[in-house]
Amino acid sequence: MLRTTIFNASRSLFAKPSAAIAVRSYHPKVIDHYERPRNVGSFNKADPFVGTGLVGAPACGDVMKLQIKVDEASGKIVDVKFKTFGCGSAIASSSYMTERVRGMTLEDAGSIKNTEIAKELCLPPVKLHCSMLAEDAIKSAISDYKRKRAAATASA
Amino acid sequence: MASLITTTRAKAAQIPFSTAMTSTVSRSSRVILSTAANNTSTRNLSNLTPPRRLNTIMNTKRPETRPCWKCSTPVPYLALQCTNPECKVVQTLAPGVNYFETLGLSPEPSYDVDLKDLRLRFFKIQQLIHPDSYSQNTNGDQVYAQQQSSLANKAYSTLKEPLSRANYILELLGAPIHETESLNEPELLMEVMEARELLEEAQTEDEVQELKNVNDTRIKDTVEGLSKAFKGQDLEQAKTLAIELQYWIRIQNVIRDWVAGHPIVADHV
Repeated sequence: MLRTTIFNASRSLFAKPSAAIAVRSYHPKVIDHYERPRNVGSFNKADPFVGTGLVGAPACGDVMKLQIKVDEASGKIVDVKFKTFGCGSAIASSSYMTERVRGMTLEDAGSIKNTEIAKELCLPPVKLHCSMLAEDAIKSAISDYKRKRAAATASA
Repeated sequence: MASLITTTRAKAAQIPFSTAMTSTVSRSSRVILSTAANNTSTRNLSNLTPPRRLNTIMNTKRPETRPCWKCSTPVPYLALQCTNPECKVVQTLAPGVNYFETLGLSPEPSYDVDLKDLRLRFFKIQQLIHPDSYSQNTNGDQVYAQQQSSLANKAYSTLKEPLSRANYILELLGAPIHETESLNEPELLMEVMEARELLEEAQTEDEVQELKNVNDTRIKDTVEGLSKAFKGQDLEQAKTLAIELQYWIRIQNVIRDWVAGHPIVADHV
């Protein structure tokens, strides 16, 4: 409450910002994913056909979870969910990644490069690490799924 | 301008620390960091540049005095003002000085700082060289006063916070945390994810207060661990804990900004 009051007061004090103030603005594509993130949520981690990738960016403290549900017969990703706590670019990168990998084979999904995500979302150089995080997340999810399947076949 | 100067100074002071570190290479590392540019290979934290002692290098490289830019009187290397009573102008920034020295502490980076003492030192410097005292000055040292003042601000704000202090010392010792590193430590990430989810689901002030208590304990424990790690010159452990602290501080910031009924989506730019 106090904070809002102060904020409003200070806003009226500086009602006319000078044009020289630099504003870091996101690209419309990032804002779109950020405002309407696709496939937010979680699958049951224990599901034998779900692979979970959990990665973090140590420099900024972001954390990203990306889960894939795989159809064993076709080897394709049938469903994807993500949850990201971080900046707009990190949310957009993971949201875009979930759309991109749906219906793909594990091999194709694993070969997606961060540069593709960065290009699609027009990420500035300071935000490239967000797209790298999304690439790490899908790779980590795929290897988790493969590890699960290998363990299941070994015990069968 | 000022930030450019401080960066150069920080870089100049990037001198590795102690040779004792090389013996810890075999220690099993909890954190595997993979450089995002090269995802196929994972890199062990212990592959750090072998550090050397800081003070030996500094003592050999740095003269005890330098001439005043105006009257050429030799003044102590770290002096802020000319010691000649006739002159007294603010000195230029001394190259190769780290933030500890800027605030008049020993050049050996130490994680344990007396915050009260740090604040007093900072105020004393600002009193001496605050640019406002030189606004009518005809000596032409107002610019130097601004630079010195700005450096002192930067030094104080970096050293007073446990996270920025840890990161700064790691940088000084040649083991900085890079933007491109990605973290693949399931245990920590799971705890972070869970904490963030609880915070996301919290409805009342009381629930958030409870989460704050838990998080405050995490911060306290991690800071204590950092103090021990730096004291024991265990850079690998210090880096691991600095990364953990980054996550807890982020949660602390989200808690600070928490307002009932407002979902937290992106929590920083």
